[in-house]
Amino acid sequence: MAGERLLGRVTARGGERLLGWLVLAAVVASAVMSLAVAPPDVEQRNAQRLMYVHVPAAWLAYLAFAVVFVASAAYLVTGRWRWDRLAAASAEVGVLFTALTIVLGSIWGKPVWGTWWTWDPRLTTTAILLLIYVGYLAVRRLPNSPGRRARWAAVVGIVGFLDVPIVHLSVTWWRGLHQGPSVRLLGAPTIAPVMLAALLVGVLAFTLLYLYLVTLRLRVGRLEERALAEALSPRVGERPEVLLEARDIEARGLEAVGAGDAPAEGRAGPAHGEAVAADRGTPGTAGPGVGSGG
Amino acid sequence: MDSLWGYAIAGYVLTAVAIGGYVAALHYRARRARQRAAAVAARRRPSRPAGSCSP
Repeated sequence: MAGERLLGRVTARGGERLLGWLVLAAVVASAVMSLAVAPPDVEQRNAQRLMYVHVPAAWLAYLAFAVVFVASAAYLVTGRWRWDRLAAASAEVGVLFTALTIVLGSIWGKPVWGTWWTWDPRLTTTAILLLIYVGYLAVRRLPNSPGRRARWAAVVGIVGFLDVPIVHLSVTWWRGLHQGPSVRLLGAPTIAPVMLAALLVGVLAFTLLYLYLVTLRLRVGRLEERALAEALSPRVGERPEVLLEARDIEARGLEAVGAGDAPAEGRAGPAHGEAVAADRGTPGTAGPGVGSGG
Repeated sequence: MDSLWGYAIAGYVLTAVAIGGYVAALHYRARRARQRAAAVAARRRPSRPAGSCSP
């Protein structure tokens, strides 16, 4: 598939390094635009400069969870591990940026609204969004067969995305403290052109940053799976996908033949524990001989 | 209302620390996974010829 080939090309080490430099340049440009070029707001003064980070972080969270949604659906349809890995990577980055959005909004809210937090619809739905995807990451760490865990996570990733449009439209649906959108797809923006330029550069920088972080996180996921494969496979260098498939088939086979919970746990349990350990990167529990390498 | 630079700077510093910390954590995890895989592979290689169970 062309999409998978493109993903593979971007996630190659050379592409990752180039992307890293692009991100650095874009972040520096964004910092200059938002801290030096854009003027302070008449009423909010310099606290308004936080919007050049807060808004792109929120956009990034939307994008990250949209990718989780698409990758989760693709995993359920195709059963390919790479989609599950992409969903996991994007969710982790999305959680980071959702938390940043909330904290930055809180820092801005103190001088402008006079409070760090209020149960405004936008704030509340965003906090729920954060909890949903923290829950998603928790599901990914449940001790279970890799295939079943990936399926559960995919379902949470799809259902959880329902909150994203609710967060976005909350300022339109309900009356609250949070202001409405300043930039619309249709109609003129309600902010000065130089402020709009600073905001757009911030959005570009954060989008590149998202691509870089997901690329890096995908590489980490592959390396951790490879380390697990090295630890468990009889042949050194076994592909991690093969190992995951084999263990998943083994676990499902045990269930299918009615081996019962206790024997299934007895045989498949340690393997599941090791999979969890690999996700968490805990060397002490990742299998015999692995701890000494960490 | 004063110039409120303190809030802006605090927000930018926090963002830099959060993202920088996450990138550093990912690099650390990658290095540790590579070391683990290399350690296991190195432990297996010399032991395989010596495993004289098979005829």
